[in-house]
Amino acid sequence: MSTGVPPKSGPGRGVPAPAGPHEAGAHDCSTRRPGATGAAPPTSRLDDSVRSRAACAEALLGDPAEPGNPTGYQALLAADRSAVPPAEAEAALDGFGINAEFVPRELGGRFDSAEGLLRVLRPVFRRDTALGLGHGLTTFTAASAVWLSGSTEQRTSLAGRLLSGSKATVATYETAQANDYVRGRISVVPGPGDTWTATGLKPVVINLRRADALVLFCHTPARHGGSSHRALLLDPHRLPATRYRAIVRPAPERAGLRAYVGAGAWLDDCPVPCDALLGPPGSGMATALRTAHISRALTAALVVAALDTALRAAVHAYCAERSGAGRKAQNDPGSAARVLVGALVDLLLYDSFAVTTTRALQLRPAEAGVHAAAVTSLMPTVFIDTMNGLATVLGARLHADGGAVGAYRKFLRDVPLMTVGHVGTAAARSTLIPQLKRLAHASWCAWQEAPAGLFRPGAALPPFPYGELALAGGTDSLSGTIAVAAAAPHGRGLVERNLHGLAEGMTAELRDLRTRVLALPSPAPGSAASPAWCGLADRYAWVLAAAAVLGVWRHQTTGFLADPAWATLALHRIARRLGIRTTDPPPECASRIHQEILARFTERRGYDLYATPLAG
Amino acid sequence: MLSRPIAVAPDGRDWAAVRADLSAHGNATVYGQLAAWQPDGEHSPALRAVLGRDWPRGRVVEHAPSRHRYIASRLLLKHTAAAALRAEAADLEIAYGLTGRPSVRGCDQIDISLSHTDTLLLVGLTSRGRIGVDAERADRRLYGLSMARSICTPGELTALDTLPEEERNDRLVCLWTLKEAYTKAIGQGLRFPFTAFGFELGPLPGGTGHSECRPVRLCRPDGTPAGGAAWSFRTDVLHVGDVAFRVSAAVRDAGLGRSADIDAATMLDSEIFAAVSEALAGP
Repeated sequence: MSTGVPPKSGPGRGVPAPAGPHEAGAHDCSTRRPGATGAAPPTSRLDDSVRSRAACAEALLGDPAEPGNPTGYQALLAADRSAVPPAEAEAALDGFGINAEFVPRELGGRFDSAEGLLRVLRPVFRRDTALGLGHGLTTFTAASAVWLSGSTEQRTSLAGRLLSGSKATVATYETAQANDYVRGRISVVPGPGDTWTATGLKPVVINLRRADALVLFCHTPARHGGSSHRALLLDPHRLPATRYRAIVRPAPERAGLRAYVGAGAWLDDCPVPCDALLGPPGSGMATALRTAHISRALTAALVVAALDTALRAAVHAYCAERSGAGRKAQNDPGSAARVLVGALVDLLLYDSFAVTTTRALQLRPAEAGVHAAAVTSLMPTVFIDTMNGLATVLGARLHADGGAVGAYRKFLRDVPLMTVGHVGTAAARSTLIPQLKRLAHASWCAWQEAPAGLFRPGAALPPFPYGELALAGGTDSLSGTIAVAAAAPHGRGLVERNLHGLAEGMTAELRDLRTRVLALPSPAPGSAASPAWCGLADRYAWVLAAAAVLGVWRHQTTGFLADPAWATLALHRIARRLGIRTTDPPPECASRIHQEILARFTERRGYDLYATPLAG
Repeated sequence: MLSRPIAVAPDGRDWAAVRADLSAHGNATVYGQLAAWQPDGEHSPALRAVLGRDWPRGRVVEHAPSRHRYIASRLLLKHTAAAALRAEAADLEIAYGLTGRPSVRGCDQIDISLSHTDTLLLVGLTSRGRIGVDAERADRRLYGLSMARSICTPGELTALDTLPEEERNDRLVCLWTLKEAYTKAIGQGLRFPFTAFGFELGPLPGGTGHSECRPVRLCRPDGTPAGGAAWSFRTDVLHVGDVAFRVSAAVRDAGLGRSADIDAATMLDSEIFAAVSEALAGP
């Protein structure tokens, strides 16, 4: 399936070589290994740092807008039209050794932090969400369940298979108010001897036909409590053909992720050996939820890459119009500039929260689940609002089928499916809401700031704490950052004073939230008060986003992120979304952001927190 | 398929039809009369509880007609959303996005849109993605005011010129409401240039009994189909009292398929909830 065709253009394709004290000895990223699938990753050729690996992935994929690039928009969109995976892009990623990024270092791979993985995968997601999910994140999510709960044999065996090029996939539990993408339940019951048998239909399992490992979350006959769930790790090729089948269905013409969602799993009294059980009895739901913390944090962080491309497409249109090519267009350039400023601020706002959450997996494993659920719940709003805002700048260009605008349209279609819409946010809120009363009691009146490391993108992280990643910790140190920021001196200039006032507003909002949460009857599924709880959970998520912004700004000493302009506008936008009355931010804030938008566009740097050099 | 607008009154008898449309088609549009949705007294605790954070503030308080319209439209919006979710209106908070677009905070199983003009209040709901609705008096004069060029694409202008003179204003009002509905669905309203996209209106279907409900297709500015398969549109003429209104709706389907259940009471997953609660209780 992967042809491993070498790229047409030369090394780097315009991407500057990564620099830094630990990254001397630049590697050659230009050669894709022919027939890479199944081959060992070329780890020896890679400088091992995250920055270097991310730059290598970017260089390998090349300038996405270049017409002849086999891993560019033209090829990716053509594959999508045919509902097939983009073979050359997959081969390029195999040649890079993408699977090694999913395997912990102690098991022979290169995974040592979720933040590192997000940086390596962002180049993929900037070009094609479906490719990133189907040829990346899905395998990692399935594997994470095994790294978290698998036996030594299961971990070693899966690591070996992934390092030799296998894919893994996962069939999650059907959760409340399921849609077509998460519907379906599999049940598992004790069979003869020490075996088990599994029965059920899961209509959509990403990449199922190409997966050599399937993590299956199942229900048991026990109706309540921890023992009602089990997780299995199966090799679909070793299941009896009469008892297991990958049900193939043609993707509807307009369906998103269409190259990867064409099959579902059908099992009928299918025998399962006892060594396929993942984790001890009763740990199925805990494994699912702890895995979800990781996948939610990464999904949120990777959606930022799609927004990055969408913003670049709009800036391209804006610059073309300003240069005179489109002077007849009726778009008001002042309005377009405001939209672009808002889009970059929202992107940075969301990235602050997503990266902070991703770092929390390692620095605050007991509370990362709260942040992961909260950042997930904001994604549909941030994504759709930003994309729709950028549409006003694109105007009639929106109808173009190719290039970055084609990618924009594909993101608009694919990302809601990747995050499974309301079902994803409802599951996230189901994790968050039972913890709100405890958080209100224990954390929301604390004056202790979260550790500085949480807010320093790219800074060193401790080993991934698989054993300490809590299902639910009921604590949150992130919100403490707001009170600390509000209590700090008022700042030097007008912008900092404005930001300080906004931080005080967020402190008041958190206090009000605490009062409301403590006053409501305890939440419960089926309760009439559920919408009130969901409303408060949404407000809390925005407050956490504000805390992440304040934390990232406070802990930078140089560069754009240390400038209060972006943080001021970010908190202003959050305040407006919460209905908090504010004064207008100083006009120099927008000027500063506008300048940054044009500088990064001209210098070909990403619009995220890392501002890394891009291939195009 | 988008549903025909349903008339609703505050007595609640019509909500079953709204829920039936949502269940069958994933969308519903309702309308009410301003006079019917105005509360008898503006200072009752019950009204304050239902409006919650939507209690009129700022300039809207000072001008009585604006305040009445504001309160009536929010009451219709909240009661419609509450009926769809089978929830209490007082438990819902309407959130406003940065462009003023309303949503039910924390309840993203439905999307909502609001429009009001003259004596008509209009609310759209969908469980499939995003919705925008718009209403104008059908007799609003647009044609002949040099507005056609700022509203229409070249393709639409050509189609307009082929119509008999007496039909042109109605066509323009129809296009205007469709464009408003589309741009409200994407949360942009007039910020989105109306000449960057167009509509092709099919012939009136014979014998449907639905006045002025034409098939609608999204087009590029040059009139070629825009391939917006995710979009559905509907435009109707409603008669309220002795006034005719042009009413249009636009829905973008997110492509996630049908959600049979959108009730507020069941949106928290009981198994996740139990597992998290159990972990917090812990040993």
